[in-house]
Amino acid sequence: MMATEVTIPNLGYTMTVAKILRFVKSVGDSVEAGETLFEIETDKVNYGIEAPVSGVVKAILRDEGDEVPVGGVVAIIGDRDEQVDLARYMGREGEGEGKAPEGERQEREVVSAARLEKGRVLASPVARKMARERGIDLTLIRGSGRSGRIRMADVERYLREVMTEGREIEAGPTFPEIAEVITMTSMRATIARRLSRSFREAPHFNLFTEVDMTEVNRLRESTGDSIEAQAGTRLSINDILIKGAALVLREFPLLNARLVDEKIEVLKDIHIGLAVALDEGLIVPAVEKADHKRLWQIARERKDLVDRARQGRLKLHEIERGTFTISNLGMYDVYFFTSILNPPQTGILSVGRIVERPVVRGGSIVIRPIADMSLAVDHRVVDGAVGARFLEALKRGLENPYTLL
Amino acid sequence: MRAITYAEALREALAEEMRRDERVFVFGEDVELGYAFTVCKGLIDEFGPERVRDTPICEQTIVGIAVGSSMIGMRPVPEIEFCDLLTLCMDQICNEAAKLRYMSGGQVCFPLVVRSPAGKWGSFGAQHSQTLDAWFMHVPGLKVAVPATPYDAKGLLKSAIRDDNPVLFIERKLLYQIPGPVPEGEYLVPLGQAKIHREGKDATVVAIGRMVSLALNASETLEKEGIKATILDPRTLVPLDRESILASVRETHRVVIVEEGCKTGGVGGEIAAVVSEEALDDLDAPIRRVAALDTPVPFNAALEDFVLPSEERIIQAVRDVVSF
Repeated sequence: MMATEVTIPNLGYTMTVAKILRFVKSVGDSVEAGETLFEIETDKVNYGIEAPVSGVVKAILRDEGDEVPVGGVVAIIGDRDEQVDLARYMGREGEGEGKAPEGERQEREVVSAARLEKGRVLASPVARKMARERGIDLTLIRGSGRSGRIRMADVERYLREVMTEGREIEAGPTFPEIAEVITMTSMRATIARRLSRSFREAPHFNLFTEVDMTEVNRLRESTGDSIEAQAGTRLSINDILIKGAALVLREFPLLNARLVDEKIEVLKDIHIGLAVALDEGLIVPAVEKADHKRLWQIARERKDLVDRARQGRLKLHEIERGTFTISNLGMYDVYFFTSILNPPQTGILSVGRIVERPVVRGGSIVIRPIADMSLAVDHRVVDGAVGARFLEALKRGLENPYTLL
Repeated sequence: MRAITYAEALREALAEEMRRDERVFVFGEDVELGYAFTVCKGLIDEFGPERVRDTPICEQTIVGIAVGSSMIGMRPVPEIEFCDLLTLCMDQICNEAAKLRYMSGGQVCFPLVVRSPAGKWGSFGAQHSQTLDAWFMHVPGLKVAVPATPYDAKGLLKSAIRDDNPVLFIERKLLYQIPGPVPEGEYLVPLGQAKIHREGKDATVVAIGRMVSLALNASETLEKEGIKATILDPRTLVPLDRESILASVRETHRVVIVEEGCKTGGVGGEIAAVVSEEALDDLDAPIRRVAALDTPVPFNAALEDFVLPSEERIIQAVRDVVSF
């Protein structure tokens, strides 16, 4: 058997790197094909990487906590007696990244270089000993020897500098004190990166409307028991919003599209993502082909997705497949708000709290449950009128929800 | 303190030991007249032809007589005029002198000292310029002394003569006429004890024989560059003062070993191995060896200088370990 490389698979459109959480197997362990070798964390989920073949783990090339780009080799599986030329795998970080967008690739290469250095720190034996004895991470020290080798003098300089720094901090009371430094989780960092990019690159505009939710409430009440019997959960406002948005999107295909390199890719299926708030961040699992589903089916699927989102057990495709997003903060005391587009989608609907408000109907002031909604749209893909017509159609559908059944 | 030459210091050692112990006698080619390097010159006047005796040009016989006479309780100090010719008496030295004490279960001892000069003299050709310390270092049962100064020459030779084991006493031709301070009266330099000639914190230069003076000169140049080197002379290769070498390495973290013999299979390789086995975690740079090139020593003076270690090469090696 030839040695088999175990690499980081590409698990989604926006995935570029994965962080190695934990190795389940060690060098020398036997593995069966399909057994979990190690666990990774991507921007979306935690995922177990399985052995592609049976054999013996010949080498593990990364450390726990390392970020490895898609395609990066993490482990080698081979026969027990096989000699594996590990030198071949050194300095191969850049491979398997051809598909990545240019800007991100550059960013990753910097990370890779640093990590390569981390894996093979050049340091003299006495420098290693000093670092070991004093608990210093050699990767923090800049080497002054040949090829950047860390020498004893560098460790001594580092110790002097650290000690000097410590004194300066004590002497300088004018700075605000830091109570805690939180390193972003991979998820948090991804949210930050993707939404920054969305906000920077996609020119959004927002449209607002108010929707009379009387009939939606009535629908929920009248179907409550029967849907609960079928779906195992009561029909929620979100279910009706999902179905409504999905049906209306059929008529507005540009809002169910994404922009890739100056090409608008109109998507065939309509999968409505629902933003779910977790303690550690936001996740948007999507109800598949929501326009084709009955309300009870949507309710059942929505409940399942939300439950599993909270347990961290979503599958990647469930998060990646969304084509349009609904963000509902109705459970909070928020009347209306706007959202940032969930890239690479074109539209996102923001739904505020349902509030009883006086409104004029047929010349009289009546009290109705009203929800304020906003639609954020990528102006590169659609213009105001298209967005407005979509929102109008959605409003009409929600105010006459029986047309959605 | 008075200054006498290396050759005079050796002669003093011989005379003192011959006076002290009548079993001590010297013999070899031209010892009566004190050729070729004058060490034995004049000894015959005091001790007579019974104890200072010329032999035919037959090295295996010289050492063979030494082995036999030491076996019956004498303390012979034969001279082999050039260490290159020790090849002729390898059986006597390595198979007999070195092993018979062991093979007799300690019943017989072999207190002989084979004196022989090694190294450069200057255009003496490939068969009269070798430095063969390492050959004898490899033979269990032999002690090997290589004095670098008149002081050590006298003190070490006296210790060697008093030792009950065969000692190869390998002198250096170019040192014979170099004077140095030697105290009046008796003193001994024990076998197996290194000497630090100069202390510096940046590197340890382990130098053997004539290389000690080259290393000392090199260290003066280096000091002008701000590099301070310790110059350490093991003085005896067997027994080797490992502790002193290791202690110095643990201070300086860098080692250069300088020997006049060739590099491959040399003394430097052995010392380097000791350092890496015992003090790897204290090294800040690879161990460097400065030695003769692996070629016969040329007759041509310019080529001879090229092949043998030089001050410049020592300087380069120290710079190299310091900047590594």
